[in-house]
Amino acid sequence: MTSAARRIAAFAAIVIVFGVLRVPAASADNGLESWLRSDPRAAQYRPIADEATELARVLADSNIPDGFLVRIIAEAAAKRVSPTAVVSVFRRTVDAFLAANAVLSEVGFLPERPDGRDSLFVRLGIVFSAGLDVSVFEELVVYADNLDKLLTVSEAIAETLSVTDLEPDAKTALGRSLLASRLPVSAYGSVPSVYLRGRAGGLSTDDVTTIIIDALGRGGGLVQIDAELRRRVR
Amino acid sequence: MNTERFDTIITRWENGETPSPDDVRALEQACAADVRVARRYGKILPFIRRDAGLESADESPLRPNGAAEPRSQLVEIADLVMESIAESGHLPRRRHRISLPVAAAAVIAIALVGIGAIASTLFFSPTQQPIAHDSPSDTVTVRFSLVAPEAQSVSIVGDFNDWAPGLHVLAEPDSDGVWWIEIPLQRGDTYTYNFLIDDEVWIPDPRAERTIRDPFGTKKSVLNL
Repeated sequence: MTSAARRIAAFAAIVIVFGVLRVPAASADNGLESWLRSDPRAAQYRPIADEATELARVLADSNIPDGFLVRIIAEAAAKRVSPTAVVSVFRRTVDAFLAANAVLSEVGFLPERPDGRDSLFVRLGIVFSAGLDVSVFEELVVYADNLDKLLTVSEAIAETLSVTDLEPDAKTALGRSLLASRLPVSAYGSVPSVYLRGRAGGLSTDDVTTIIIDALGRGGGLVQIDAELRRRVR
Repeated sequence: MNTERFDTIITRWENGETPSPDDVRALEQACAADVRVARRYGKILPFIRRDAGLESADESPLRPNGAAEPRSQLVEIADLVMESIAESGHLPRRRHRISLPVAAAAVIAIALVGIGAIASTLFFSPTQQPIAHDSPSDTVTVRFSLVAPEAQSVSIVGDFNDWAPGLHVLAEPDSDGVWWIEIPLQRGDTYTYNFLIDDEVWIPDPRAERTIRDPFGTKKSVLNL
């Protein structure tokens, strides 16, 4: 074999090796596409497969992981949710992710490490699918010192929505007052129980929101919220 | 009961001051003595305990669930406070100097008590939920349980098993209506899950740390590790 032929053979070998390595990497990058192609439960979602794949690619174009979409469709399959409902959730989620990605990038909160981004978009997906409006999230970004505080307050609001409904304005006002308050981040998780206690005492959701915002606005904390709650329930 | 002292403790804590262990124990004792105090402080007690260096909030059994009805939720919080206090043992502090053999014996004794506590948690307290058993690796074993005396089968279905029903089936070894399972999970991840009863009824974990709406109109539990 001539030296030129040897070089060509070596180059071809390199191309083949990289090609072989690239195939699984590409599959791993596109979790939803892979799920739709290989999971036994995917058959029932064949009517939405093209749109779902396209939405996953839209995320990939913005360097947003699509792992949360896999979680959604797997949960939907288990709970026998219709393809129409799933694709509707996909559209809302992708829109929310793109908006959140843009605003987080703007304020410098986006993690650089891929695992940090995976974790971030799982937490965001959970709060958005639980009912936190992306417009509310975009407003809260401005008032948060850091990403963890922003996510924790978003989770507190999302959890509150499992016990009572809140209008978008009320969500924003509640989130802003928490972020501006002296409450430690670990105390944000108490908010849903405040609503539960207020509702159990016969107060309306709006009343409880007002009590929380007023108490925090006066520099108070959980004790002051609790005191006002008890005074009003009496 | 006069709650002024406890209000002061919590206000200081909110301002970033670390509560003293004595303050936390006084708060615990007050919770144990008076259900109204437990209702008032139960939710934040685990965080105060953690900041006082007594216990991790993540390991606390005080995990009220937003899915329950409001009044039963309050009762549950109080019950959980009682359980946690009943099960927490505090060794008396020794302030004077002790010899090396005595110290070694004390360390062994504490280790035995710790092992006993873990064994007790694993085998004799199946209703605390969910409990994460810490380990130095990236994996955390979490114990889930559900009281469902009428159920024929219970499985847990969530992000950690790709929402595959039947993959993690809970056992009810004592025929006491308490179903449980231990699952190794990845540290640092956030999971959502439901219990599936008799292959048809989806419910959130009544003892979960957090409960949220899922995108399809029902509720599910959230576990942060």
